Amino acid sequence: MTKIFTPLRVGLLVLAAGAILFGALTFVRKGGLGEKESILVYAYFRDASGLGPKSRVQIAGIQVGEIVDIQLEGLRAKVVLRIRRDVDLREDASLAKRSESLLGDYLLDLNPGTPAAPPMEDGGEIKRVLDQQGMEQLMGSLTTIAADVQEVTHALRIALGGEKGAASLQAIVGNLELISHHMNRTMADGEVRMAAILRNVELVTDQVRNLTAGDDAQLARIMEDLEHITRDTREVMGTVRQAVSGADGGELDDGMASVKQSLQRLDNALANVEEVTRKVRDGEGTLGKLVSDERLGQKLGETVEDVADLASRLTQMQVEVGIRSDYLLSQGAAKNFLQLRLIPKPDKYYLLELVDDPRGETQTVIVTSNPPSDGEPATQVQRINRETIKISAQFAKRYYFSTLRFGIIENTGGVGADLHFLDDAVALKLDAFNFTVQALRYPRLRATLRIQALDHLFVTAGVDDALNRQVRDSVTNQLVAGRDFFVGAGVFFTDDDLKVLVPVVPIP
Amino acid sequence: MNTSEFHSAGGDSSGHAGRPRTPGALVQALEVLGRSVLGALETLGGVATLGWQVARWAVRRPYRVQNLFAQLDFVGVGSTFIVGLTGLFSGMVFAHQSSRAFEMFDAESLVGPTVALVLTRELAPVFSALMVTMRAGSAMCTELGTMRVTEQVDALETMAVNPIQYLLVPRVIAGLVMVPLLTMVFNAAGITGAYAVAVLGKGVSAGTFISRTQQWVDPEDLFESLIKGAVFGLAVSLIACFKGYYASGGAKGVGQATTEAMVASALAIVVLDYLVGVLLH
Amino acid sequence: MIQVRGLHKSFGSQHVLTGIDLDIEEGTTCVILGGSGSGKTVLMKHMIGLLKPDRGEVLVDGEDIVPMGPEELERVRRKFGMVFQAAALFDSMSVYENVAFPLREHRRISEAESREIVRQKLEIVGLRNVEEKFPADLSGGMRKRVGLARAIVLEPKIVLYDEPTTGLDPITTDYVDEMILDAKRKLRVTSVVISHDVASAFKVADKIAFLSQGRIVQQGPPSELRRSEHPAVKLFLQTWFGKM
Repeated sequence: MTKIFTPLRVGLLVLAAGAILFGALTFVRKGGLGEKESILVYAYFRDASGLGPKSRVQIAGIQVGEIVDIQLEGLRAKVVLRIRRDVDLREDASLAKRSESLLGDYLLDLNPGTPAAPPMEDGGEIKRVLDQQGMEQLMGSLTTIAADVQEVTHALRIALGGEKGAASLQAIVGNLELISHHMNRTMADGEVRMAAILRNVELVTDQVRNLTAGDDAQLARIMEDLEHITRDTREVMGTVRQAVSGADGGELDDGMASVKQSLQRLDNALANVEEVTRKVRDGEGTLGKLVSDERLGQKLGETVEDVADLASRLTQMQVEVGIRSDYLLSQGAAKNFLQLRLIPKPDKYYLLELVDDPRGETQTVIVTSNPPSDGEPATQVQRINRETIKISAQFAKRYYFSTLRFGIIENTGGVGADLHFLDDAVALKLDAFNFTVQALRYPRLRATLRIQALDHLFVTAGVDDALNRQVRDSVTNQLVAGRDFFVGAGVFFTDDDLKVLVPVVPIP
Repeated sequence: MNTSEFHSAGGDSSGHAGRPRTPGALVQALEVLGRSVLGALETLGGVATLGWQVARWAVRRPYRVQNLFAQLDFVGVGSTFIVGLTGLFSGMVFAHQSSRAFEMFDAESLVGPTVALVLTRELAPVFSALMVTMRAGSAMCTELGTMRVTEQVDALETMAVNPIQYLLVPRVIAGLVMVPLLTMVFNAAGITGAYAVAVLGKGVSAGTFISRTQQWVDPEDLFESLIKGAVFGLAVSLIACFKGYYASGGAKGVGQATTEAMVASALAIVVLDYLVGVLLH
Repeated sequence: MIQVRGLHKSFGSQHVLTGIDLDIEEGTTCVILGGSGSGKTVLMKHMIGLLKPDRGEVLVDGEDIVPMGPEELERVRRKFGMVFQAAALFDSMSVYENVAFPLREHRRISEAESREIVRQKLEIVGLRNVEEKFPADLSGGMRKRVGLARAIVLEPKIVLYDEPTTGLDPITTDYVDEMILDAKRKLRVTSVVISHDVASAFKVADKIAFLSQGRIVQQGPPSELRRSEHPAVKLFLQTWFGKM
């Protein structure tokens, strides 16, 4: 067999290397710039700095040729170019040198010319060469601008520089602050008053509207009553005038005195009101402080910001829920997973899993039995396998195309590593856990291949507990440990509703 | 006459030879230098002569096809993994370091062509040849040396089988043919590693990487890779065969021959790298 | 069959052979006897052209092989079979492949024929069912026997033995001696044996040539050497025969 195998392997290597070579050659062959597919032309430049062999020649950004050679002729540079034949190059074509990047790479922009001119022949000369602003000129204008800026900043520094300048600047700023502060308050007051006035006007107009909206008859009645009232009032006023300016003395005086007293009390009350409003305005007293305290406003602002931040982090965090079921081939049963993945940032996540593992947990039970007759009690060590639900809780961080995980895997400490391929469509997951079980020789090593199909569906295949020999429970014949292959599938979805249920999550 | 009374430093007419004068330190140093130069020239001449003989016997019947394939397999297929692995990591390292440097000038787009050009022109042929030397070259030298000191080479001769044709031709052809192929493998692995690091790791745009590489790499660079590979492969296999075939002095001699072969091969690669580079440009 | 005339060979400043004259007739067994390091192996290598002398002639079947190039030597070598001191088996090949090697190189025969011939030759040297083993699995004695099988597989005219009984136990030594005699009788080969085993020499040799200090100091039938007056020969033979 080796007689056929050896030449076969050699042949394979030769084929593979040949294929690589062929592929590479095809890749690097410059389309259209072979000798048969292009023509050679030349042009004279006064300044060919930055140009060299292989520099691009392009039309509208697409490469149509390259520089072949640059030679010195007298005081000018003769640049020889190769241009593809499928470019309709005319004798009135023009070349312009342009810089490509800050590194000083240059390329040539070609204008092929107008159909009116005769076509360019192989070996001909492009006579029109435009010298456009290169990097050096750009640098030149930048330098002038920089110089001007420098002058301005220098003047500013003189004006505002030094302690005095700084102090006056501070004062100006302070005054501006005060002005705006006062303006604010005035506006606020004004606003309040305006609002009140407007409200009153509203009421009045409302009532007036009601008035005018009612019956004309009612209106007429009201007008009549008004007439009466005004007539009566005039009478009263006349009487009062008489009384006041007349002789009816003492009683009216008392009345006037009491009116004056009332007026005086009103005045005091008004003065108090004024006092209170002044205090509020000036920020004195508790109410005033409350209204005018800047720091409070600041703190309020900060709190609002924090809440917004928290909210945004919460909205950024993604939550993913999934279920998966693997069919274990040797076990003959299915292993089910319920997964919850919290993803605060794209490159890390927390994984919580509930696993229903047909392998269950093996527990050692020491059974002591007392014999009926005299004798030592016998102890028996039994190993019972119970089906349990297991929990995994892991923290995962992603590096380029691999993810490293650690935490608890199926009730024991473990670590894992994933490799991602094909834009995360395929993942190779490796887990190692259950290190300290003494009955088994090796820790539990699991390798899973996960392939994503459609948006929410994936299929899996792999091998569980790859290193151990198979061990079956004597009673139930269930597989308790050992190598087992599995295939499975699952679905997952990110659910926005779930975010509401997760109000406070510690975010490192 | 009492001859014992004659004391002379040099030889005298009575035929008593005096102690020869030990040469001075400078002369001794010159001797050592001269000897090493002469030794190097001797090796060069020996290798060249052996090369000529190998060429002569390579075209004569009977063609040892089975031996040839065994050697092609050993040198080529056997070294593929290590060459590929070295290539992959070389490409990755180089891409990583060069993109760090280019980042300073905002010129990450140049990583692709830089790595590709250095790979094809220098790294691929040199490293592939070095890997092949370490693996296959040392094995060739030791095997041939052991055969020589246990008289197996003589046995071949007594059985009218030319040992050069039987033993050396397959090995030299294997070196000549396989190293260029391995160079291609190195190139492929290297550019893959560079792509992974630059595009997937550093975020260089894939389109820029590919188009720039295409722009700057020429078929000439690939051919340079192949030619250098062939020259190095021929040189290291000839040197290993030469040192092994003419080894002597038991196990120690074989070990020494292998060491010398390794050193000479590495030097040859470096020197030839320069010469071929100059010749091609 | 083989004539050596005036052979001189030096390695650097060491003069190993300083004028060898030796005649070996066809169908006879000649044992070259001498102490360790006397140049016996060097002399033998000259006979098959593995070494070229500084001076002298080596005639095989009347042809001087000294000036011959590799291609001509190949032709001459097909007349020889050589058993090396350490057997010199190819360790990458099995016993079968080792013994069949000369067959495959120089004859066109089928696999079945080759198997049969190898089995026969191995049987002649007293080995059975070892074809699939590798030299590293065999003892020194077995390796030597395989080496001999390989040397005689093409039934050559001349067989050279380089120290065939060195390092073997007495029973195997006896065996090898019998093989050499057998080979002469059955295959009518000319044998040249290098040895310092006096007993074997006296057993198998038609002629013994004593090599000392680069020259053949005495050559002749065993009985002649037993009565030799040459001091070196006497000293050497005393080890076996006791003081005479």
